[in-house]
Amino acid sequence: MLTITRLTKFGLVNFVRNLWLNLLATFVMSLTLMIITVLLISAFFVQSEIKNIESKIDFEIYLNDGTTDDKIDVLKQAITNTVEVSEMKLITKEEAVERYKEIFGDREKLITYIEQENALKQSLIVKTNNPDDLEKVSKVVNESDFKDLIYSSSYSRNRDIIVKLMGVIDFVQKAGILIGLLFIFIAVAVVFSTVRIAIYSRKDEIEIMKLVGATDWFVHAPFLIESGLFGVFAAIFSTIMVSTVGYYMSLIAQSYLGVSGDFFGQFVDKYLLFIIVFQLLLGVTISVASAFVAIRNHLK
Amino acid sequence: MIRLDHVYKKYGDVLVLDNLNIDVEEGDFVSLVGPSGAGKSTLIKILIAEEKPTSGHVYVRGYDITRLKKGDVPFYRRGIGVVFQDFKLLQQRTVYENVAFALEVCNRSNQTIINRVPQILDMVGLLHRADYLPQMLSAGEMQRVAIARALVNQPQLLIADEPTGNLDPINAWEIIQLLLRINEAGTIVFLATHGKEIVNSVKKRVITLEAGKIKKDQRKEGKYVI
Repeated sequence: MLTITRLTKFGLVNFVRNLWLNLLATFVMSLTLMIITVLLISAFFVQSEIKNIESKIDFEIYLNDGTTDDKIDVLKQAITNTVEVSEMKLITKEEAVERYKEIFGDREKLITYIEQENALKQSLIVKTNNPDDLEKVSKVVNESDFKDLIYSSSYSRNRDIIVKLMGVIDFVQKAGILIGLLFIFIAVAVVFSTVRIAIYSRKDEIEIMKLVGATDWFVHAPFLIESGLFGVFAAIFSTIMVSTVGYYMSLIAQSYLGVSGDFFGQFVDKYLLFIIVFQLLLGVTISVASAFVAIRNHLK
Repeated sequence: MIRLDHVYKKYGDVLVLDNLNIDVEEGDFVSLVGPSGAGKSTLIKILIAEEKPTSGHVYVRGYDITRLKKGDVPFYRRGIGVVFQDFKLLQQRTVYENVAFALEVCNRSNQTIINRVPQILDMVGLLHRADYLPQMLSAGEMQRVAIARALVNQPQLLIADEPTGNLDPINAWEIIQLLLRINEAGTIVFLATHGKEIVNSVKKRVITLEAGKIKKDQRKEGKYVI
């Protein structure tokens, strides 16, 4: 314990002795952590939106007038036997009219015509846990057993657009991972070089320490601690920057884009501690691992 | 205390130490002299486990240091004190911290450090310079700090490699007097030196090396002979 305290003190002293070089390495590490954190937060929001979008993909089956409840039940059973259904809802003609009014409520003449002519059909809305299962639902619906029940059926009109959008999101996420990895590589290289320079500039001191009886561990542990400090300070700086930027972006979103709710505040309440711990662990791991390799090369 | 047993050292085809057999007893003060290239520095390096002999054995306090593993070398070095011509002080640390460092690597408690360091600095006459950095000291003072650091762990053996090489005659004489006092207190002193006057004034055992061999071993009141 005493040795660890002493080595920590040596590490802190060494950090201050090479302050400018160490601040530079800390800055590079901060950038890396910021980029990775922003990518993670973006990925989190994108995944939430993807789930939200996926939940909107459905299959609406319009039924002929006069279709009895027991025939509808047979259809429902056939669908349930084929795929795992998350939701299946029968919309009566009256409910269909109410839905229409919600969308086109300002078009009085259209609403009046629909009510008078009884133009809307009852429908069965099917949602599956896996949007790809809707293809199978389509096949069931198009079977000859049910042809006389079905007026028409369709996927949600936006399915193709959603599929394309998800493709773009997937590409952006993969690009984000590559960018994150690139910055991690840069951070590793910078820390490695910084530690090598520090070891080289102190090689006389290291030689003297060894002649006096210091073990390799005693000599080099302060370099590991010094590097660990890069990660700690970088995590603190990065958290402050990400939080500050996130807060102001949230204000902009609410003020100018009309986004409702304090989503930044909710996010911070739920995930801030995770972000801090994640950045600390990542920053310290990268720094210490790079320093360890630099020291091992020197010992060889 | 120290025994060299048929020690040879070669660098490539060059034979630097040629069948050295030396015995050093408790309380001895040994001056090692010889022209440049005689093998003095190589012998010192072997004694501090910086190098291993090509063949032969070296026993220090009964332990064969030629069989030391790399990880054991620091622990061996903590048991001996070493002083160099170029002082080898940590420039960024004060006099006090330089001496304390030798105790810190041995994991001594803070209380031990607080008790022992001032004692040792007082012994070498540098207590009033405890807060000075090495660059604020004279050459003689720096060498005394190095000696203090070498003694703080109370070693039984003190090895000094040309400790007066960078000093003027007055400072050199003071350092030698300090080494003699240390020897009188019971520590073996092994001194490698070019200083003829120093060796002749000390009047202790003198081993003369030439071309890697022992040319002469004057056990009592030895003289500088080359």
